[in-house]
Amino acid sequence: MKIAVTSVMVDDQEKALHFYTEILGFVKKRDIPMGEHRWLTVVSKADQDGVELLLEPMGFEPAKVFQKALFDAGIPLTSFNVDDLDRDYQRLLDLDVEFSVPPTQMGPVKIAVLKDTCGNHIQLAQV
Amino acid sequence: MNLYQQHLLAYRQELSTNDHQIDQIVGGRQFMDRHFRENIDLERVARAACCSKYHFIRLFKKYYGLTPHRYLTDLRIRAAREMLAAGVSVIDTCSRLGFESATSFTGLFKTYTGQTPSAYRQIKQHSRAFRN
Repeated sequence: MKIAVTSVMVDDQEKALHFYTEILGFVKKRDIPMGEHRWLTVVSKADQDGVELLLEPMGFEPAKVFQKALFDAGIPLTSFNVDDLDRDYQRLLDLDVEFSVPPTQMGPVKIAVLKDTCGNHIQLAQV
Repeated sequence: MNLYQQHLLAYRQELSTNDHQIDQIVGGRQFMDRHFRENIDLERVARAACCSKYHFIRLFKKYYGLTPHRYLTDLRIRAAREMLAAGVSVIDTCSRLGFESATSFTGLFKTYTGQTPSAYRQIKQHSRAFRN
């Protein structure tokens, strides 16, 4: 058994695709029409046969309550690793990305938290 | 301040009392990042971190959540994947990454990836040829 897909819940798949590819720099991998929604995944540019991130539409009402509660508390839905957090923070600020936590050293790890414009906080971590 | 920011602040204050320990394990980790191709052992890593081997193992696990041995193995397997995918032979990959023998390299690689190095290399070469 292998972990092949993980997901982030998004309120708008097209908007999410733009943010996760054009802004964060992931690459679209699968785009399969499924009725009202799509099976839409992105992968890391440097690991294109690695785990896929599903941009999962919010088709389930209770999920919206869960997403909002997480967002209001500022809790990241997931975390991505970066090589140089300060560099990526500056690059993303220049692209008007909003951060709830600027680069902050937490023991051996440096983290920051951004808003993905699709209803989630996402943590970036430099180990 | 949201709930997560409050938690971060509290955890940061807790961590700040252990700055010296954190410097030690970060130093050891950076040493592994630089020297993982040289068949280094944990005695050498711990010396670079200025502490005993057992103290280093305990601290590393406390802050990173995995043993330094596992971290080191991950670095070597990741590098092996990259080299094999780029077409480097199994024997060259094995020797350039400081593995003691092709047998131990093959066994470890299969445990971590589910494939032997030669099978992995072959699949990557085929998919590369297919793309071209």
